Amino acid sequence: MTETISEKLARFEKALSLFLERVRADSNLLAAVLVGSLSEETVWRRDAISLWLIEKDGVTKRLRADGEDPRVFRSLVEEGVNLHVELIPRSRFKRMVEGSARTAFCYSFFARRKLVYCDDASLRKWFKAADTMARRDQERELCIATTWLIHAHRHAAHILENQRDLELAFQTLLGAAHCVAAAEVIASGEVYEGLMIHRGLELAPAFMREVYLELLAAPRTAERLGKTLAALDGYLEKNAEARLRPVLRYLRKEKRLVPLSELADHFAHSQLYPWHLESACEWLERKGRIGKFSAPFGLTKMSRVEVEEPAYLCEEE
Amino acid sequence: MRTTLLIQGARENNLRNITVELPRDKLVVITGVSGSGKSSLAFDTLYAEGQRRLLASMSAYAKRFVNQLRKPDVDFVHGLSPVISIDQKTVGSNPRSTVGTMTDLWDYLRMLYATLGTPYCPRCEQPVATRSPQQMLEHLMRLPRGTEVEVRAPVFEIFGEDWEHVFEQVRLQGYRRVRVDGVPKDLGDQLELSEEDHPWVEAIIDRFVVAPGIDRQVLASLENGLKVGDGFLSFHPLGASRAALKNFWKDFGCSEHHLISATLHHGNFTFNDPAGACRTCAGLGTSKRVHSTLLVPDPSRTLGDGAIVKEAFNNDKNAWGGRWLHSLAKHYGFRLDVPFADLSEQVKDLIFHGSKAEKIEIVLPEGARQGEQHAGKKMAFQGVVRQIERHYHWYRKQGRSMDGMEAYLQKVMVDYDCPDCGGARLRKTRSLVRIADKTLPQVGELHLRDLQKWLAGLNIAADKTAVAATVVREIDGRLDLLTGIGLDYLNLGRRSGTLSGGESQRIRLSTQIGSGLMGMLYVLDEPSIGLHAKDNVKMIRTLERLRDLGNTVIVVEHDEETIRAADWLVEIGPGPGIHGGEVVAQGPPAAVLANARSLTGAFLRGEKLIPIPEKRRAADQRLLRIRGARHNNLQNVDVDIPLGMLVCVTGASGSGKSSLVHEIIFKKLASLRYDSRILSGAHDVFEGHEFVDDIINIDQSAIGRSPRSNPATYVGIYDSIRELFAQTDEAKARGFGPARFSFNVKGGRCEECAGDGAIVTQLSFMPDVEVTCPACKGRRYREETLEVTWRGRNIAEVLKLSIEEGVSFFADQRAIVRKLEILHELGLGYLELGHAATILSGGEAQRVKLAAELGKMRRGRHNLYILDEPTTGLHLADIQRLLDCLQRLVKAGHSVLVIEHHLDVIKCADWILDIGPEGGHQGGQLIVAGTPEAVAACKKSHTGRALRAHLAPAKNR
Repeated sequence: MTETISEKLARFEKALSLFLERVRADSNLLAAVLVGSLSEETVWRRDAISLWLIEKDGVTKRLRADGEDPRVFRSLVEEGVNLHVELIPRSRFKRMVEGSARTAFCYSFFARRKLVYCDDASLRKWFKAADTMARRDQERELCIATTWLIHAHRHAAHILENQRDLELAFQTLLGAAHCVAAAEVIASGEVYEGLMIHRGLELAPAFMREVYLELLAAPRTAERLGKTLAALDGYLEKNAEARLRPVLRYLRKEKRLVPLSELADHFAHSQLYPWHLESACEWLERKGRIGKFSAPFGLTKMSRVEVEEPAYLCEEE
Repeated sequence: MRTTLLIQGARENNLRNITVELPRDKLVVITGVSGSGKSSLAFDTLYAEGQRRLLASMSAYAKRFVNQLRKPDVDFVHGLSPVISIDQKTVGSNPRSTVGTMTDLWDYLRMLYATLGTPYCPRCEQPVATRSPQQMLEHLMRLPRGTEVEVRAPVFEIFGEDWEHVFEQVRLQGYRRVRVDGVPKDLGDQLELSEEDHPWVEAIIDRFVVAPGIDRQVLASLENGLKVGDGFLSFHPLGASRAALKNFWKDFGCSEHHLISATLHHGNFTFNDPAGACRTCAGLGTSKRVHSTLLVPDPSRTLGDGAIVKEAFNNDKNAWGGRWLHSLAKHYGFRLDVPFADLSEQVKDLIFHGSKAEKIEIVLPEGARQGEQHAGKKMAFQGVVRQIERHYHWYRKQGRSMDGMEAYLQKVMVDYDCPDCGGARLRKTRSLVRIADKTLPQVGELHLRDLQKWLAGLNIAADKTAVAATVVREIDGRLDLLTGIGLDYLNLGRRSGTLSGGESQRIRLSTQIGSGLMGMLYVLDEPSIGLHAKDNVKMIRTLERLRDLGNTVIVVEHDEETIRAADWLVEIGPGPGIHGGEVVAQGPPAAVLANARSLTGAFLRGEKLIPIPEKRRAADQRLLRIRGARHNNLQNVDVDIPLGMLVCVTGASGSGKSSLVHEIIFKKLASLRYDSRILSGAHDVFEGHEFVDDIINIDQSAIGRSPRSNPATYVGIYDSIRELFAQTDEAKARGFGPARFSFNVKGGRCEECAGDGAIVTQLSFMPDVEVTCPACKGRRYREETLEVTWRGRNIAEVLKLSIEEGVSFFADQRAIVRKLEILHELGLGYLELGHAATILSGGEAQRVKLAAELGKMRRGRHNLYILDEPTTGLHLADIQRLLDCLQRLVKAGHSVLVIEHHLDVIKCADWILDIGPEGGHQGGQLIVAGTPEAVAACKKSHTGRALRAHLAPAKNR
C-alpha cells in the first residue's frame, strides 16, 4: 500500500524526533543540523534524512572504511528511516563556518539548513552567522555553475556537429537547461529546495521557455537543436561578466600571462577546482575575451624536460 | 682507585701492538709526525672504545636508534671514562645553526626575554602588560554580568603580499568578520584595499555576554585569537561607560589602543619554529633575489648559443625562451649571434627586465616545430629576472621545500638580508619585545664582550630577580668561557657555517666546560689551530680548567706551548705509516724532550730547526693590487700582493684574513678565469689578474668521498697503470681493455662486493659488521682479472705497493714514476697506491693535492696557489717538507699565498701581510706589510711581536 506524502512526512518527522532524543542523551554530541528541510514540498523525493552532528573535540571514532578522508559519514536508521549523518568535531565546524577551504561548507542555494538541536550557545551563534550569504561566496558558486553550463553546451555542440546524433544532443541540451536553472537560482541569492528546473522557469521564464519547454515540445531536428545551442551561447555571453567574475577579476589584476597552475593555486582554498577554471578560461578564450598561450611546466620536481601548460592573458581593464 | 688509563695491545691502522699508560685527570699531549699514528691512538682507539663501551650499556631497543661503532683493534683499555671528542670538523652548512644555538646561549637569552622582556604596543610603542589567557579571562569575568564583549585580534600585514592574501589567511584560520579601522567588514565581500593602504585591521574572534558557565569557550576563543594576533588581543566591552573602560584598562594593556599581550614564552623567540620565525624568510634571515651576473656565466657566448643559463631561460626554438628571443630580436633589431658582452645595455636591460608595457609580436624561430598557435599574437615580455622572481614567490608560498627547486634557485639567485626582518629571523612582533631598549635580534648582533657589558648593566625588577638572576648568571658564565678562549669577537647571530674549524672546536670546548661535568675523558684534535700566538695562552688555560674540573684531557697537538704545558707527553713515531706506530717516548714533557729518540724534542731543543731562508726574494713588477676591500669586517683595506713569492697573510682569529684571501682574491680570480657567476666580496679595484694563469686552492678536504678514490686515482697514474696491464700479451689475448682493470666498473671487478673488497652488513642494534669479501678475499677483482700480471704482479698486488716501492717498481715508466717520486718527496712514501681516500688525514690529503699540482706543472705557466693553514696536523718535521714543496712551486715561477699562524712558516715567507689588530669589528685593517724582518720591527703588530723571537739566532731562543 503506497503511503501518502503526509504519511511519509509524519514518519520522517517521528524518526527525526526519536533520533534527536538519543542525540540529546549523548553528552558528546553538541548540536544537530538538519540539511534540507522536511516538508510536504520536499519529503516526496527523500529516501533518507541528512544531518550534520557536531561532536566534542577529541572523540571522533574512525573506521577503516573512512580511509584517508578527514570527513566522517555514517548511515544510521531510526524507525526504518535511514539517516545520512556527517559527524563534525566542534573545532572543525567553527572553521567550516567562517573559514574558506575546500572542506568549509559554502552557502547552499539548494538545501536549507536548520539547527534542530543545540547544547552550546556559541554553536548556535556560529551557525546563525554561517547562514548569511556573502557576495563572494555567491560569485564563486555562480562561476562553478556556469562552468557546468559551458561544459554541457560544448558537449552538446560536439555531438550535434560531429556525431549528428540528435537524440543524444537533445538529452545533453536538457542537461544544459538544468544548469541554467541552477545558475539562475544561485544568482537570485535565495534557497530553493524544490525542483530546480521549476524555479528556473519562474526566475527566467522567457529564456527557460526557449531552452527547456520549447526544446521538449518541438521536433528534434538539427535546426531546432542548433537554435537552442545558439540561445545558450548567447546566454553565456550576456552573463559572462557576472558569472565568471572571480576568474576575470584575477586575470585583469595580474595583466600578464597566468599559467593555469598559478590560477588554480590562487583559488586553492575555494570550491573552484582547476577543471572549473580551465573550462571558464577556454570559453573566454574562444570568445576573444582573453588570450591563450602556454607556459613551461615541469611534471615532476626533478624534471629537466619541460612540457607546456595553458596560460591566459587578459588585457581588458 | 685507578689513576691511570692503560691501553693494551693497540693495533688500529699502523699502531704496532703498543701498550701505553696515561695518567688520569691530567692534561696529556700526544704528538708525532703526520701519519705516525697519533689520531689512531687518540681517536680510533681510545675514543672509539670509550664510545663503544658506553653505547654497549644501552638496551637493545635504544641501540637501534644510535649508529653503532665497531670494536677497535685493541686488546683492552682499562680505566676508561665516558668520552667526548672535540675535533675540527666544521659544523656544516645548516643555515639555522648559529653561534647562539651551538652554545645554547640563544636558549638562555630566549628565557631571559620571556622573563624580563617588555612588549610594546605595535601602534604607539607604549609598554604593554602581559597576561596569560587565564588571567585575561578572569579580568573579563569581572565585568558586570550581561556586558557584551567583542574579542579582536590584530591582523598584521604580510611583507610582499597584498591584502587579499592576508584576508585569505585570516579566513583560512576560520574568521570571516573583521574591522578595518574600526569599521566592521565581511571577508566574504570584495574588500578593496590597495598595497599603499595601511589600515588597522582586526579579526573579530568572538563576541560573548558575560555570564557564568562560559569560561571554557571564552578561554578557547582567547587561545585561538592569540594565534591570529601573534600574541596580541584587544577587548571591547560594548556599551561600557568611559569610566568603566578606563578602569578596565588600568594596568591591563595599552589603554589607548586596547591591546594586551599574552605572557611571553621562550618558544615565542625561536626562529626555528613557524610560530616565531619571520614569515618571509621562514627564520633563515635571508631571502633570495636574482643577480643578473649569475644568469650569464660566459658573456662571450651569444644569446642564440645559450648565453643565459638554461635553467633561467630555455633558448630552444621550441620553447618559449626561443620564441621570445626571436620575437624580441626582430622587434628591436638586435642579433642573436653577437656575444652577450657586446650587446648594448638597452638590449641587456630588455632581456633581464622586460619590454615594460610594450607588446611584442610573437615570431617563431626558423625550424620550430611547436608554437604555431602563438605566432602573430602580441604581448609584453616580462623579462628573465621578473619571471624568476615570480617563480620564487610562488615557490615560497607553497610553504614546503623541494630539492630540485632549491638547487635551481641557488643557480640563479643570491642570498641577501631578508627585506622583512632585516636578517633578524624573527617575526616583527617579536621585535616589539625589549629589555633595556634592545630587542633579541639586536642582542644577537653584539660582540660577546659587548654582550657581557650589556648584561652587567641590566636592572632587574625585584619580582623577577629570582628567575632572571639565575638566567643572567648562566649566560654570564658561558660568555666568560667564550671570551676566555679568545672568541670575544664573535656574535651570537653569526652563522655556524662561517666559522673556521678551530673556532667551532673552541666553541664546543667552552660548551663542555660550561657543562661542569667531571670524571670525563676529553679527546681533542689540535685545538690551537687557527689561533694566533697571542691567544694560545688563553686556550691552554681553558684546557687546564677542564682538567681542574676533574677530567682527563687528551690532546693531539704540535703546538710548542701546548706541548710544554702538558702534564704528560707521548710521542708516536718515529716515522709515518709503516715507519711509525710505536711509542717513541712518554713521560713528563721535560723528560720526553730530553730523550734523544724524540724528534719533537730535537726540534724543541733547537737541534733541528726550520731554517730561515738566507735571503728574501725581491718583488718584481707583477703584483695583485686590491683597493677598498670591505667584505665582512675589512675596513676599506688597500693591499698589494707581490707575485712570484711566498706570501703569508697573518693576524688574529677573526681579523679578516679569510675575507681578504678567499672571499675577495680567490673568488675574484675564479670569476675572471672560470665562471663569472662567482661573486666576490666587496672591493673597489682589483688589478693584476693578467699575471695569473690559474688560481688553485689547496685545502685539507678529502681527495675523494668514497674509498674508491685513492692517491693513484687522484694524481692520475691509475689510468696509466691500467693501460700497462691492458697492453700485456695476456690481456690482449683475453680481449681485456683498461676498463677491465678498474674496480669501479663492471667487468673486471668482483661483483660480490662491487669492487669494495669488503661486505658490510647492517644490524639493527649492533655495529655494522664488515667482513672481507669471501669471493675475492679482499682483492676487489675477479680471478680472471688477477691472472693478468705485469712484471709478476697482478693489479691488486700493484695497488698494495707503497708509494716508496712503486718508485722502484715503475722506474722505467716516466709518466708514472715522476708523480710517485713527488709523493715520496712529500713524505707520503708509506702510503699504498690504493690507500682509500677516506682514511687519509687532512695533512696527507693536502700533500697529495700538492703532489698532483707539482706533477702537472708546465713551464711558462704562472699560477697562484692559495693555502689556508696548511700546517694543520703537521709536525715540525712535516712542516719542513711542506715548506720545501711550497718553495719548489715558487722556484718554478708560481706564487703562493698562505694564511698562517705558525711562526716557523711565517718566518720563511718572502712577504707578510698582517691583518688586525684584533678580531671582529676591532680588526679588518692592514697593520703592516713587508718582509718578516720589517713585520717583526713593527710595534703595533702582534704577529711581529711573536715573530721577533723566531727570527733571533737559535742560541738566543
